[in-house]
Amino acid sequence: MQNNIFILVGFIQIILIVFMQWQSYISTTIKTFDLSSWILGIFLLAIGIINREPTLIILAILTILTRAIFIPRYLLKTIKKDIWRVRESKNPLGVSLSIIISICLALFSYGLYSIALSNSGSVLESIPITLMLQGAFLIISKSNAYNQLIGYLVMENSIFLFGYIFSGLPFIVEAGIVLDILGIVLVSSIIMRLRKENIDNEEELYG
Amino acid sequence: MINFEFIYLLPCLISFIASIIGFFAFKRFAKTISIVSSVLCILSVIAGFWEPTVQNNYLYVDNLSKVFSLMISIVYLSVVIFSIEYINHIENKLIKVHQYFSLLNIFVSALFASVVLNNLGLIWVGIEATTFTSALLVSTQNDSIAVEAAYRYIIIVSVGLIISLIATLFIYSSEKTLSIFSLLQLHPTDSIFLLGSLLSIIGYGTKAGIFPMYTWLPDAHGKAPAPVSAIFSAVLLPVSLYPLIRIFEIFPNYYLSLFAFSLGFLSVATAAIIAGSQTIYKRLFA
Repeated sequence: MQNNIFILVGFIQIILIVFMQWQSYISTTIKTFDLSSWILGIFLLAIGIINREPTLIILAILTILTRAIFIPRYLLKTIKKDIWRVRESKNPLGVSLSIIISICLALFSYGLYSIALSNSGSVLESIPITLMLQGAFLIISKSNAYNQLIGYLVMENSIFLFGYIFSGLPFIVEAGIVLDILGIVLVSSIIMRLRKENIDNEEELYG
Repeated sequence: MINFEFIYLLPCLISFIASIIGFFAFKRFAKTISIVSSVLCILSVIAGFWEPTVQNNYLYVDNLSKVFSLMISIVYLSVVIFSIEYINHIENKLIKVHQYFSLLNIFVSALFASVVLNNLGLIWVGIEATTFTSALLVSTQNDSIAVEAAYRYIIIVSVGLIISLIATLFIYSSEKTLSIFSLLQLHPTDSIFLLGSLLSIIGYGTKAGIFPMYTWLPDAHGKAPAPVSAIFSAVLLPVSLYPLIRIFEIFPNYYLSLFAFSLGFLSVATAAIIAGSQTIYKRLFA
């Protein structure tokens, strides 16, 4: 039963990130990430309650507070101050190609799982691998810093799904990870607000 | 009998407290606080050299950890002394002087913690903490290129460290522990541990500037203020390799060594080719 719910949650996560791929408006991407974090947080909370694991319940609450409430609101607040950033100015790959590549990555992940990890556990492992690769692809395919940060956070969300399969890391480590993510988002937001988007041609950064 | 194990945590605590005091309470004395902190750190590290090695639930301190701690404390003192005058000559700073010294102190605190902890997961947390504490130090000069360099640094290194976090998960799933001491006793042999170790090399290698995800390194070293570049090269990169040294101790495997050697060779080869066309000295040395 729990594994079926996991597959459903994983499938929704993959659909949401494909949706992020074709979005041009950054605020929609942030809200989509918000939705995916809520789903992930509620899933962890439900598993924690069903299995009566207090550490998992605390972790789920931490996840909801940071990823679903604080981080999306903070990013939306900072983006409102730079109105010219609300839309992805250039999408080097184009929408249709991005979606095709996303679907190919899902197939590739399943192939990777079948070759490298099939004797190590369950078929569920291909879901977080898919999310991980799609998060990395979001970083590569978008030029807007906010989209790239969301890509990083999607990769980070996949860790939680990995954690479910591998019965999680010790609580102190998980709590440390949540604090680190907060730090990364806060500092990235400061730097992103100062950053110019069209700096690729600077000679000083060649080589 | 008095328990002296806490002495290994003293440098981490001293620099952390110095950071908090310098940031919130005595902003005008941030430079003095940093000097006092760095001197106390070096004294406590030297005092720890005569103490026996420690392996308990939280700490794993052997001679390697002591050498790393000594290296961090010496570079920390040198960088603080050099920064005192250097920071005054930077115009249009992104961060204020007390913020610069507080970030430097907390960055060093994370480095000290990373080399004495007995948990690969907490070592990951420490190394990731060094990323966001040092990103603003890279962009101190506050021009568009410095900000871009800091952005590239934080995004590339964070993605690399996510790979090492997955590696940590694989290691944990293989042996059900992340304690270095316990892993050394267990002598793991299975393929999941090997996969975790290979991913660790890529992940921590990103932070250490090893091929293929090294591109942040010349940007960040080139645009960071000289003292920050110095602490990056002398301490941050070796500390990023510290968990890999532990993994090689735990799991001495031929394929793992071959993979690490190949990436190291490619790093040297790529650097040698790119250095030929480089005209900016700081980037050349990076």
